[in-house]
Amino acid sequence: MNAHVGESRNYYVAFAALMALTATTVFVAYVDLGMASLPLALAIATAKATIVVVYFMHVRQGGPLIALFWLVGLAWALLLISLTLMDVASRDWLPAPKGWTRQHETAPRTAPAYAPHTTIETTGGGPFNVDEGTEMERNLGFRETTPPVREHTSTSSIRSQS
Amino acid sequence: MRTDSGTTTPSHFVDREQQHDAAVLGMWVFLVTEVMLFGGLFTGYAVYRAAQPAAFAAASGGLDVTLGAINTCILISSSLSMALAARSARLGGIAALVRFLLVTMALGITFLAIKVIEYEHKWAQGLVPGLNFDFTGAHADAAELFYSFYFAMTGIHALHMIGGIGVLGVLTVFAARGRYARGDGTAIELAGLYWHFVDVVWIFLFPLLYLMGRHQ
Repeated sequence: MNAHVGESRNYYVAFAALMALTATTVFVAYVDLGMASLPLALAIATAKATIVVVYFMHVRQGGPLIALFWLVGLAWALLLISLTLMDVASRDWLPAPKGWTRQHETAPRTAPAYAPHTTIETTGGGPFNVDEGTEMERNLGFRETTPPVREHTSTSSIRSQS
Repeated sequence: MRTDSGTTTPSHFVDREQQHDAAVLGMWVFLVTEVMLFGGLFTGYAVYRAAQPAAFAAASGGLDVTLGAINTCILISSSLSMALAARSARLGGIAALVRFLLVTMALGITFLAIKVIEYEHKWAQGLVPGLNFDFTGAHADAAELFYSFYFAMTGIHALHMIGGIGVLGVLTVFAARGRYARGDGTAIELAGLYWHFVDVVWIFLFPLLYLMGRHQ
């Protein structure tokens, strides 16, 4: 891990490569590549990041301890992203439990995608089958004793106030 | 505690080399925590973009690709001058070190100035969630979500830039006073690691925020 004095020429080569890759990613963004668009943009960004980390941050001169630390950091970041996306992507794979229904089958299309997917089915029986109540009551699965503040049920109605 | 002068080594270090290695490792540990910070933001962006791809692509069209690309080039240039500054520090070239640090700071300030212009445009266009959001088009809610991510991610990135420029300002004063004349510029090297990391974050922010949906 000695203080490393590299050739300044390497820095200029890395700089030129980064500039060329920036031009490339802007150029291909205007080409219709369909599903390949995002992976290609991420691949170019990863290549640029690798150039910065290797040539500007001298990660290879850092020794095994630094390699261990940044690999652990990278692994945790990938876990964070991949497990979260796996969860979100696979939520609809299993049928909803009996007596439950999915949020997006009952809520209006403007409902935010992050809302819980399951909500208590209130139309199948119980005291609410006459009056289904407000959207918030249905989502919460119970009836509020005081009238709910309807303005707070979605972001769009918050905006319409202003 | 003037570790950069090289005149004293605290007793818990064997020698200056070990002291330098410990400092570099500490900086990497800090950068890993920064990866976690930005990783959470990128994860949130990925989830909502996967849920609303068309709306995110449409909302992305409100961003200025030209200014974003110029800022990308500015940040890459600042990384080059930062790397050259660290090299000068190791070689003991004080005049070159101060010059490259000043160039790096100037490029960083230019980046922030362009960011201010962009934010101003967003305000004029009514694309600031919560304060002034008037998106006309389909998927207004999802577009608001996109701009929430835009301001959160670029805002936190800009805060990192401001912090980095502040650090470089202090180091420039130290350098001008000759603190790194002996060729031990560990502080410059650490500031450089931080600066390059902020550059890496922007390298991912630029395509994800500005370039998605351009071909539509």
